[in-house]
Amino acid sequence: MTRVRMRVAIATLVLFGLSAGGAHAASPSPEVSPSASPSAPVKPASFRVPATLLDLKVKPEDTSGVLSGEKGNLASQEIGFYSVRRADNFLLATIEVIRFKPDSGYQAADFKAGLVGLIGLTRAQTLRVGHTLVHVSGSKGLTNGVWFDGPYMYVLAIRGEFEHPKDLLRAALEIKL
Amino acid sequence: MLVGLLLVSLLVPACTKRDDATSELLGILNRATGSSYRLQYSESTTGQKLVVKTAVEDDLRYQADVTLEGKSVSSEIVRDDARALRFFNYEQASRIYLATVAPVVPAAVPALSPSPSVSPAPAPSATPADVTVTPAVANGGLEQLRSGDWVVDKVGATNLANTSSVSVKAGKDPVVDALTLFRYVQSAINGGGGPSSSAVVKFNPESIDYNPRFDPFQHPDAAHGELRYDVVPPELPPRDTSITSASQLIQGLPGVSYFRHLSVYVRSGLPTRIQESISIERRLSDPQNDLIQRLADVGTKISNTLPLKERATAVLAALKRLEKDRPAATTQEIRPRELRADFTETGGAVKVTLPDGATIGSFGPRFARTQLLSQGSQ
Repeated sequence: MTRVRMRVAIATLVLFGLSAGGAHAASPSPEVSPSASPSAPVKPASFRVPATLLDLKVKPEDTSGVLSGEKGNLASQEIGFYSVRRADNFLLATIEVIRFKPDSGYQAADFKAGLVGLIGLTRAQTLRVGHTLVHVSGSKGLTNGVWFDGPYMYVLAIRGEFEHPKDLLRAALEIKL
Repeated sequence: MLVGLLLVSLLVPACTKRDDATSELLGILNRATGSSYRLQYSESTTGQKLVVKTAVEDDLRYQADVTLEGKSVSSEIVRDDARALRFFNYEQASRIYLATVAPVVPAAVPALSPSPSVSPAPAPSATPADVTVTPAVANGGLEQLRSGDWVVDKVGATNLANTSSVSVKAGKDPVVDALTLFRYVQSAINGGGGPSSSAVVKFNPESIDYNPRFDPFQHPDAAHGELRYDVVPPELPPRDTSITSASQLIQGLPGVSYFRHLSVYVRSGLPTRIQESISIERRLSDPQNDLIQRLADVGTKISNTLPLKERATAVLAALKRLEKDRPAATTQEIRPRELRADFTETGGAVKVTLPDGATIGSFGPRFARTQLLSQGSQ
């Protein structure tokens, strides 16, 4: 059986200065699918994410350093990573967008549940926001929201003290790639 | 003989296999939880009628209007991070709202937090564009709340992660009770309020198990495709007179599920009505009921000659007194009540908006709630 690994929200940890063990319940390199095609490396992506959400700046961040360490068979083919900052550049949130390979099995409920289980230190609660199911969990100082849209997985990590987490989540759900 | 066997085989399966009915009902409740809906939740307890009208757009947006004896008490609107409150009767409303987060303070209610900010760092303005509001006031909006005006706290509902602490115990906060009704029913099905889980059966007046005398609810409107799922109260094991241990006897006394009749009316795969009746009188009116004897076994004598209502009151008092000696799992509060919850626009385009022209205030932790609505956990 092919072992497939994928980085989940690693860049979030780097940007917020947290250790992987501190913010994730499981190994940061989980097996997520038995069937994804081997070899193709995951690429940093530039998805068409809006430049602002609410009144906050959204800016792509460089994840090439994090991703270059990944070897082996990966379920994801592109990862985009974005910071959400106040006008004074204070980091309030991050958005990670992962595009899965067509043969990764991303449609399967088990695949999604496995990934959701990796995010955060608390058991994820599923909330219906509009027509989207968002899996919300907490980790050190962060609230995480995870949702899926076709081959894309979104991970929104919000600083705990930010006063508009739901407004930001609602705005982020409008991102369509 | 053959005819007799055939008749028995027709009668014994009450109508559908119990496991199937349970799965069907849980599926119906899950579908409804994932939909927008309006709900009128009416509860009668000890002569008081309380109504909560709710509109649920999604898990981050709802409205709940509370009336007591036909008089408005409070309105609450949660729209993402913003929360609007209007107290028509300040004393009654603050009792409801404070019950969730702090002991009830009926008299002097302290002022609301004077500062709208709970963060050490200034947050950017992120008011949803479709709300018009008047400028913030210095006292957090307390005076406006006292005088019955709408007050909006733009960051009054920011608790996104914490849904796990929602209690499914009824009676403390009617808004919580109304908004967590589906979870309450799921808990009742899964054995909440008693040592054993309650069976679910589809209503069938032809069933050998069905006794119209103990059915407190209307029959479903079968002509219009309405079904009724009944969460059947569990029966107690036969009274065992050989047991002498008081503690064992007390553990064997019934919990709330024993007194509860709960039915879910369904049309087109979605609930249209939920009714619950928790009644000690109904149980005692069964001539075969031996609860008075069971209480006598643990040293609580209640006269069988008392009028039914007084007997029920005495039984309730005795069971409450003995609660401290029983495991927590069986001691969900026995609270006689009649509940009727009517659903409309389920799956429709229910929209929840903040009131225009409201005062901007800050509730601080005073009336804080956890995230109430949820689809469950992963």
